[in-house]
Amino acid sequence: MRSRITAAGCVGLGLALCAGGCRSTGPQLSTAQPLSHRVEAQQLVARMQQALTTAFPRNARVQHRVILTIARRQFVFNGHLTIQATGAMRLVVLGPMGRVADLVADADGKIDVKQHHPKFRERWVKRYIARDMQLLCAAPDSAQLAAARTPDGTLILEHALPDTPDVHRYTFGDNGATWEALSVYRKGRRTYHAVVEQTRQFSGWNRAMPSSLKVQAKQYQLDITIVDVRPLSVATPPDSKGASSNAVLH
Amino acid sequence: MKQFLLLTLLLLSGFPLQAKPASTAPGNDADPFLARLAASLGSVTTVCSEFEQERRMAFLADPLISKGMIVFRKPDTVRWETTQPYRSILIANGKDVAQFEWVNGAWNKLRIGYAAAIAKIMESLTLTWSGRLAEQRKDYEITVSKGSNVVLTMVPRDSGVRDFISAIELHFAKDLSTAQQIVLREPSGDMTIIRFVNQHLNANMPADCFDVDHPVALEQVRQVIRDAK
Repeated sequence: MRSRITAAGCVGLGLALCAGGCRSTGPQLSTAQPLSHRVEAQQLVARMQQALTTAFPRNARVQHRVILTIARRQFVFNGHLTIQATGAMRLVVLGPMGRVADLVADADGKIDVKQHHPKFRERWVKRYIARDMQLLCAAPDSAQLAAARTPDGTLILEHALPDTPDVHRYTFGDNGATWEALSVYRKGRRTYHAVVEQTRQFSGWNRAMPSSLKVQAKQYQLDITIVDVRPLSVATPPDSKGASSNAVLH
Repeated sequence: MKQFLLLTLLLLSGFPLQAKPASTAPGNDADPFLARLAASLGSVTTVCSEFEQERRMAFLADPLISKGMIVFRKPDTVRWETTQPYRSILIANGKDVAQFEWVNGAWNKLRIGYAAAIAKIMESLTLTWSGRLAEQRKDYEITVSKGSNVVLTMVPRDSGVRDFISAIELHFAKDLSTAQQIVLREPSGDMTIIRFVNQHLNANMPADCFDVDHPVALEQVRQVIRDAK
């Protein structure tokens, strides 16, 4: 798994109550042309994977502020994401009513909901908060990846998920070195779209990272502002199976 | 001063929204203290204070720190502005509630989805600012301890609330002239501490300090404080 910003899971809030939402179909995947040169393709895939893996640093704590919009109503949450060296993550979402959700994703992507507010059902946490965290923070497996270039020259990385009709399409700038967007397609229709709107070099880091992201999902929208990124000094490891065995943050 | 208490703890916990009324509200030694608190509130018209909020969570070695300013005007108007590490303004005036977030270099007024909840919080705040903190006893078991300062401990009566918040401690100066800090304790051992510093009483705040559409910049509030010194 790789590490990128977590969209905070603010989502839980009642997404299930929301109907309608984004119905954009987006560009057809077929418009992208596979890279014909094998060596070039391998190099670009490696570069794009690296960009995803390092978009947000490991052994770091990412503090973010999220505005969740559902059916024209808005809710604000604070998210605190810790990313371990292994790629295991823990996300704590705080809202006006205290801790909304506390979840762990181990290095293999397994989700464990450690705590959730009574008003936020566990299945909402898994369906929405965990999904955001994994879409925005978990790198795709190296298998089943394909690099392509759109007619305007934009590089993309496509990941066809096994056992699902979903295709994840990552868009990159800077010739594959900078992650810019993610779209999820189901049967050719875009169901999820995340865009890195701004980047910033946080204090103590020698490179820029995403500092503002916007997510448009079927039932909700997230406006995510990264407010702080700092190295993890010491922390207790996530105690879910898998994550704990990989923990390095004692 | 006590206004800080409720505002903060309510912002953090949403207690009154969840607590079920207790069947009884037994009296105890807290009664004289609550009466003194009520009396001390009588002459306060406005309060302006910087705050620092420290959230300690077991899985993080370093606490999460946020800073900002709170402004209260009697009887029921509050501005809670966070300045670090993010910028946010919450204003409630007894009738309207507004929230602003600083996004990509500009203030963005939200279509807040929990206006009713915040209004409920305001109602509880008003009870406090009116010197009616004793009425909170229907929802909390209140005890008082005295040492170098006075600590009022509020334990939710509702077991469902206690699943998330085990106690709220309100720390006052010994003479009850100021509220110094609030400690919010969670069953997990996590806790939040809010410290109030540089408190100023009874300054004339600009009216648009509490404007729910175009609140005045915080710097102007600070200028009022400087001029009042």
